Amino acid sequence: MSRESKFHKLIEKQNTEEKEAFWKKLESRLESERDIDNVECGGEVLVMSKSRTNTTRRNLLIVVAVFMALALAICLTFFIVKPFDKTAGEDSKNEIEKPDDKRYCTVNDYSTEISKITIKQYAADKNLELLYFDCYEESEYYADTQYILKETREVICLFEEIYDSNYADINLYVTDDRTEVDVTKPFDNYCIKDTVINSVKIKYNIEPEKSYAKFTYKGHRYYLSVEDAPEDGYILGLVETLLN
Amino acid sequence: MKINVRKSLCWFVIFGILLNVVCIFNVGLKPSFAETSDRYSATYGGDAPTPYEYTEISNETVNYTRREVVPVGLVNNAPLYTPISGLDNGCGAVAGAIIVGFYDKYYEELIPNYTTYLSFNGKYKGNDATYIPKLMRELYTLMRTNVDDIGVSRDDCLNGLKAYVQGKNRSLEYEDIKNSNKVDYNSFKRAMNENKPVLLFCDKTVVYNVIKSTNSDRIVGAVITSTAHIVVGYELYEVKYYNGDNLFRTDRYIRVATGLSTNSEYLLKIDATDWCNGAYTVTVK
Repeated sequence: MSRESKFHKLIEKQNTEEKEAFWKKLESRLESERDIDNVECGGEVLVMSKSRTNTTRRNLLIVVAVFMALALAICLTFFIVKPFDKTAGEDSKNEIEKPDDKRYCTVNDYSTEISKITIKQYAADKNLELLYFDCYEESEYYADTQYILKETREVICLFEEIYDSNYADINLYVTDDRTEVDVTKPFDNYCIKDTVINSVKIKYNIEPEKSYAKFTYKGHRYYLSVEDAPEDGYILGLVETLLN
Repeated sequence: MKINVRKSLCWFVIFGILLNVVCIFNVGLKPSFAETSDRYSATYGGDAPTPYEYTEISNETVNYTRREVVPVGLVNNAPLYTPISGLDNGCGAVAGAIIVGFYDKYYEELIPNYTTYLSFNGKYKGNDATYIPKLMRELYTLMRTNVDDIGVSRDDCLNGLKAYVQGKNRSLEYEDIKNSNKVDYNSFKRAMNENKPVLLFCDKTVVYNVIKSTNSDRIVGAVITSTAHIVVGYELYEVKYYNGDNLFRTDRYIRVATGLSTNSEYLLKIDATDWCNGAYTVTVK
């Protein structure tokens, strides 16, 4: 035996020992794993852990489940939010139901119709106790408009413009006390002062060009404005006229 | 197959949030491309999502020791016509009717057999049951409302109004008084001094009420249409605020007939740059 072959065998022998030590270590480690599947592939043994396989499948399921949940959330967001968008089209309701059965009506909910029926006549026809300026005969001009809900044809607001004997230009809106109409919104801004007339609380304001007043009386709301008034405070006199 | 669960989850969550945000904003987005699409339709009815909502957006108080108001407006203001049923998206027709109703006082053949003002004081009447609706219907057709698309284009509105006036053997001229992205103050003032109404094409309509108290004004701003609309300007309303002799603030407004209601309190800010798509002085002779 040549020296080289002796060394070669020595190395192989050493390697074998190390190899055997290595395999022993590996086997002891593999034994500590729970399940071992040995899969043969191309003559080679592929060692796979069943627990690793299960973990991968579980992770995949988690990812898919999260994706589905997000997709559902997106769809719900779209379909829930969209119907409440007022600008979405005709199907959207603009009439908002407030608590206590109050309602706010905009120009999308009603149409206006010129009427030959005065507030006085309307009150008589409907047997309602409404306030009005009974000066039609001496007035130079008066005109009446009814605000009518499109869906139900219910009259929700009466508007009367009338000039009194002093040529004051009086505008009077009347609604029931559960209805707000968009045209009366400026009264909420302008009527900033308070007073009481005939035990009725009045909110009002007096400005050089135009004065405003609003109050509620026997189940109806009244919104009154006057231009070309002959004197300051004229509007409070008009309110008193209505309430007397 | 290796799957990094944490990374995947993070990416899905980010993707989902972005999609949700896009959905929410898409739902909430209102069409505001009036300048690009140039359609005006804010009135009730029809397909256009154009409610008159009165949504308050600002509320400020200005304190002062003295204020000056110098209104410069048309003689007896302008008629405050309102929409009639059946004319969906007809803000062009209503605005046009306001212009015609104004000039009918001076050229009575514009609305035959009808007087638009009160003889005892010269103030304009509101809608009647016959003549003003007839006028609006005719303008609605001449302006080709809802023909090419919802509402009316600026060109169709201007051409339709002109056609109506010319049909009554009168002439009509427009002067463009928009300067950059707002109404030119001097031109508008001149129009008022010359007793000429101004057609205003609004990308949206934000109106202000100025409520006077002792030594303070409360200024309330509200959106009444969030989509394109046409109104008529009939008064320059300028408020100067002083503390002592010091003029510390000047607010300049245009009082408008909105064509949506009979409210005469609505003011547009002439110096605001976010609403004016077009402004035209209308001269009929």
